Parts: sequence; C-alpha cells; structure tokens
Amino acid sequence: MKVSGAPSPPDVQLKGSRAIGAVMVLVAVLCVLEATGSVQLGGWSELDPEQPYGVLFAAYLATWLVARRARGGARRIALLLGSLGTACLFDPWFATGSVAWVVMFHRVVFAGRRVRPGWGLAFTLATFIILAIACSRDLWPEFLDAHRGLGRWGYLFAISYTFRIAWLLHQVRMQRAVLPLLDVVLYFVFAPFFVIVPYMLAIPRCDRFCAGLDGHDPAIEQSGIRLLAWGVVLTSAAVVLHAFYDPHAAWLDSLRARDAAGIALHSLWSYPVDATLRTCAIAAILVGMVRVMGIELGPSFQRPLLATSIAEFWRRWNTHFRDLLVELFYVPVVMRLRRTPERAIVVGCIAVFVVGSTLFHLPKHYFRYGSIYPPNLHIVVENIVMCAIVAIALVREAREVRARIVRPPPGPLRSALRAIRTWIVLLVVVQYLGYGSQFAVFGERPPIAIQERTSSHVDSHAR
Amino acid sequence: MSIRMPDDVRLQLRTLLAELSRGARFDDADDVFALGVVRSLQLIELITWIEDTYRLEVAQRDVFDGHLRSVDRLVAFVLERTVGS
Repeated sequence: MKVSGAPSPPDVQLKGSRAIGAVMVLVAVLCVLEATGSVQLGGWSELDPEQPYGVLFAAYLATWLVARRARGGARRIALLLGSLGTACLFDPWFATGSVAWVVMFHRVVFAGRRVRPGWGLAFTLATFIILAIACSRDLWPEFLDAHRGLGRWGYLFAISYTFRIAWLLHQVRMQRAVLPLLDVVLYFVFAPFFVIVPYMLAIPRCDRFCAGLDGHDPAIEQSGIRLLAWGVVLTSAAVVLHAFYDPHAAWLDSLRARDAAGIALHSLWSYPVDATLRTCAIAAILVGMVRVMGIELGPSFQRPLLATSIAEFWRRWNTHFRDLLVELFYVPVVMRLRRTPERAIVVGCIAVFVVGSTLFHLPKHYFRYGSIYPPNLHIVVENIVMCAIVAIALVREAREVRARIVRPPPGPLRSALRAIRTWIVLLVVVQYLGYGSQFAVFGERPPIAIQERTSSHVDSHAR
Repeated sequence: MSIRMPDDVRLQLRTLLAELSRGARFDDADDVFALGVVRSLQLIELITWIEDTYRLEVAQRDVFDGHLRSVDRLVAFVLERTVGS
C-alpha cells in the first residue's frame, strides 16, 4: 500500500546519501575540534580526556551505516555487534564485565519467565556495595593506586548505568513484562554511550529505546542529524567566544584583584551562561548521535537560559533526569496525596529534590573520590534551597490553575530581566550557597581519585 | 449502567485540558506532556478530575503507560475503563 506523501525510493536513497555525508562531516569537525583541544567531549563525566575519539567515532559510524540498512532481527544483531565493538575499543575489560553483569541481572530479574523487580533492585544494590568496597580508598589506597582500572570501572559503572537500571526496574515494576535479553544488553552497551559517556546528559527510557530498535525511521534520523549539527554549532560558538573572552579566567583575575564588580559580572557569565552553553553543546551532540541511530530521545536541554523563573528553569534543564525523578519520586507521592494537592506538591518536591536527586548523585560522588569523604554537602544545600523555591512557586501556580487565572505573557524586556534574575538565583544557590558551604565546612576539594595518582588525599582532608 | 458517548467525553477532556494549559494550543493527537500543556503540576488536577467525573481510578501504571498523554488516548482510556460500569 502506498502511503500518501511517502517519499519514493530514489528520493529516500538521495536523502540517505545526504544523511551519510552530513553525519560524516559533522563527526569529522568534532574530531578536529577535539584533537586540537578546543572541546572536551567528556560532558559531565570526569574521566581522563584521553579517549581515542577518532577510533570511537569510526566504530560508531560503522555501526550506524550497517544498522541503517538492516531491519528487525538483523538490525538488532548489527547494533549489538557494532556496540560491542565500540565498547571494546573504549575499554575491553569494562565491556566484558558489563555484558557479564547485564546477563546476570537479566537472569535475576526474569528468572523462570517471571518478573522480579525487587530481586533486580537487591542485585543492583549488592553490585554497588561490592564495587564500593572494592573501590574504597579508605580501605586500600595503595592497592587502588596499583590497580587504577578498578576505581575507573567502579566510576564508569556508576555514571553509565545507574539511571538506566532505575528506568529498567521501574518499567518492569509497572508493566510486569519479560524483556528480551538482547534488548537489555543493547540498552546498556549502546554504541553512542561509549563515545560520549552519558551520565545525566542522555537517559533514554527502556521501553522507548527498545521501540526504536525495530526499524530505521528517517524522520528520527534526520532530527538526530539536525541536533548533532546544533551541537557542533554551539561547540564552535563556545570556541570562538573563548578566543575573545574567557569568563572563567576573567573571573579568576577579578578574584585575585579583589574587584567586586568584576567578580559579580564574570561569575554571572561564567557559571550560568558559559557552563550551560558548553553542557548544552555536548548534550546535543550525544542525543543527536542516539537519534541518528533511530532511537527516539528528546533534547536534554530546552533553552534553559531563557527560563524566566527557577521552576521554569528546572522544566528546561536536564529534562531526562527530571523525567526520571518525576516518574520515580513525584508521581508515587502525587498518587497517594492527590486529594490534598498542595501537600502533594510540597512532599513531591521534597521527594524529587532532596531524596531523589541527592540519592542519584551519591554513586558518582563516591566513586569519583573512592570515599564518602568529603560528603557532598553542596548538593544537599543546593537541593534543599531549590526545593523550597520550586515548591513555593508550584503551590502558587497550582492555586492559579485551580482558580483558572490566566496571566498574559510578559514582554521581551520583562522576560529578559526575569531571565537574568533566574541566572543570579542559580549562581547564588549553586555556586555561593552550595559550593560555598562545601568549601567552608570541608575545605578545598580533594583530587579526583580516578585521575590523580595520590593515595593520601583522603588522609590529608579527613578526620 | 451509564453509557458514555465518545464525543461528549472528548469535548469534556478537551475543555479541561484547554483550561489547564492556560491558553496553549494543541491537537487531539498531540502529546500534551511533551508540549508542556500538562506538566507535573497539572497532573494532580487532571487525575482527580478524571476520577471524580468518570468515577474510575487512575493508577501509577496508567501514567507510566502514557494513557493520559493526549486527548485521543485519554478518551480511549476513559471509555475502556467505564464500559460496563
């Protein structure tokens, strides 16, 4: 049956060759920017920036080129083989360990064709406890210095898989359906996530990920290319901007000169604006790479710098993590307390910000230092203050919604002023209150254990 | 036994979503969560209104499965749950 408006086969072929050319060019630009040191593709992971990006991108491209021509089972096999190849180029031991862990995890959750999310959670917690003991610099710093791969694998496991495990177990709990082993393995070892380690920048829902494995959707692929191009544009813009003005360096100069006006101006530009620009660029590249593979995944950031309030900022910022927190922590609270809406909002905000966010930040924090010390007080402070700001705003908004009050949208000048006010609140809460409290109580941050060859950093700061 | 007419349900739900969205435009097939028409804030209002109006219970799984994500899916959900009630 011919679908009205569907492109004819030659048209598809033409678009296909254009797509291949476009992705090749974009990846080549990224490789050049990375090789010249203009861009760090690490994103929010803090791994050594010495990944063989050229080889990893080549493996990713080869996986995509083969998979986009295949359908059904053949497409899954192509994606799996390509992803395993990319993973092995990234780190063969971590790739092998990951596959072994996923197979065991699958057996635990779906043993005997039954669905046991509770067992899956217990298995996951046991894995984290074993890894935490193995990677503890409080227990055996010399051993970890001699076997640095171990600390790195613990860190990689935490930042790569924590959120995907949470989504998968949540789906299993909700839908009570057995997932094929092949799909679960692919969910964890998907090729783009070994080019750029996702941490919070791309957290696909397991059901939507699996839905994308069935076929090649040119519309999703095209949107992925556009997003990839947008990421390259943002990255290039940041590189050009830094050639003229490096806000972080200017901020440090102002600090040294004790220039209060300079500190205020440069920090406002350095933290919310410059940091956001660079993060959005990496996120767009990563999500674009996932979409190019045919997996539906929305952008991680939706122009957060245009937010006119903190509540709106969190709707635009890191939306995948927000969706996960809402599903896991907000919705259950709301379902229980829905007859007392304002209480539901306040308790829901506490569950999301104070419990959920703090809980999910813990593994990264622990494996980064190989120790619980110093505790991540800055995250706790930030989350408590943000929780209060957002809860108050949402309760006010809920009252307006219930009263059916509709306010006209603000004009451009008022919007701009509100956006700047939002930047200032962010700067104050995250940098000054959050990191300020951390510094005041625990002093300077110790070196990141997975990068620095210092075994005594815990002793030098602790106790 | 109450029989619900699809057009009536559609009109009621469309009206509710239009009020909750505070002026945002959307079609019946649009994902109202993705468009920001319904946010986590309005979710409480939407769920309680559906439960009170159609005398049915919305579960967490219904939210996860996306039954509340568009007017079309909401209509199908309400009609399916109220059949035979």
